[in-house]
Amino acid sequence: MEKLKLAKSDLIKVNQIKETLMKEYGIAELLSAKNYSTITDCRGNCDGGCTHKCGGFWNPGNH
Amino acid sequence: MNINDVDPKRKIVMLTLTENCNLNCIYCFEKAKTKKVMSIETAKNILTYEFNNSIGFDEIEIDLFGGEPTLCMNVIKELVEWTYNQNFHKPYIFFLETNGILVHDDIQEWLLKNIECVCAGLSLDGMKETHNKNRSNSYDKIDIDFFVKNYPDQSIRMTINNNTVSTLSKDIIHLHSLGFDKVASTFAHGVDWNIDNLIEILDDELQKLCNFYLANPELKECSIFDMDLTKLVQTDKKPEKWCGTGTHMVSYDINGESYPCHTFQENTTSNPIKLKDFDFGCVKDFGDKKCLNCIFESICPTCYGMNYANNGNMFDRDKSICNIVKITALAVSYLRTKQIETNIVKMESNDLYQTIQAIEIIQNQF
Repeated sequence: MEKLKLAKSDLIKVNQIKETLMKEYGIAELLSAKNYSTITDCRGNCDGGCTHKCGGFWNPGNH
Repeated sequence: MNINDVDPKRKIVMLTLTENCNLNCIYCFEKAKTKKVMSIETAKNILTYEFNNSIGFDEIEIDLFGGEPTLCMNVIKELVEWTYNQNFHKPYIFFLETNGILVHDDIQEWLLKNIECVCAGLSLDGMKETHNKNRSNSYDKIDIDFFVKNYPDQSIRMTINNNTVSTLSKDIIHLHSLGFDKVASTFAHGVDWNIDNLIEILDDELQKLCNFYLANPELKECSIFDMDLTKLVQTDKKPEKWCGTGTHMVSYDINGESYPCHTFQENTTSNPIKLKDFDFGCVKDFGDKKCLNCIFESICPTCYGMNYANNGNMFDRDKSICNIVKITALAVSYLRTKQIETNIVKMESNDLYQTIQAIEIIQNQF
């Protein structure tokens, strides 16, 4: 995992962005505001043959 | 109908039109290939039933599946043209999943004539050498430009197998270079992933891909990067149902028997489960008890049908792929960090905050 591991400087940079956001919006808003959608159809998660959108991650059909 | 619409609630109706195939792909999940074909009467009866009984759905996608469905174009043509003449009161689209071998001349002409209602999706595993390793030396038999030109919104289906993982970045870049905007690159399921140096190979290949997308921000990232990292932050949530099997999806075998999806059919599993025998709508817990302490559980994909086919329990995940999921999450965290640093991605403040939190969690695992 040598290549995909971030350098410390990268982590510091994004952490600074996070801290700025926290000061600006407050932790409660930042954690609660995200509206998680529930799955309403197949697209995006499986490959039941319908490769319409992203096609999903696994390919149970191996097609 | 615009196939890019995502808001309407769509039901997927899969028709296994034939168990026959003109390729012998090395990772194919279908155990039994026969010459059997679904009769046109069976197909018509299924569609009549589905259009009249799919309550709660706004539209229907009819997947023409196989085997290789273009081996029974006579059934497809009659079914599509018959459907036009019915007074069905829901919008619909046909989707033809094909290996492309027979999609030339007459079939191309027919597809173009019906392009408003029939979308074709091609399977192509990357560079010629890669594709030919997996898919019976068929690369040169496919009119790739036909699919690029006529189905620009359609993902190209690429399967990453255990013998081609070492070229996955080149394969995905090759598909983009052919003109495919959306690359649905997925890891083969049910194959042996206990291969030498898998972690090192993925580390290298996924970093190359990250760098490619960072250098080409106008391109849509392949589906490997579709993970929503923010789910890692929501630790109080129960695992959601991962896909539409049995609730938003139904699959019919050549005899017209219905199943939650194609992976529960007889040609996939030795103990098929029919739709009427298992109600996915009543399942309260989709989690795998062995994964309770894994921080990646909420973003870890699972396939209930393949779990069942491989180990007899729908909710018992395939643990041989744990490392692939973890390294993929690491790659997504790497890519998002570089994008955030360079302002390539625009996110809402809460999304951005949670993504950074997730990045830190993931990076701390390695």
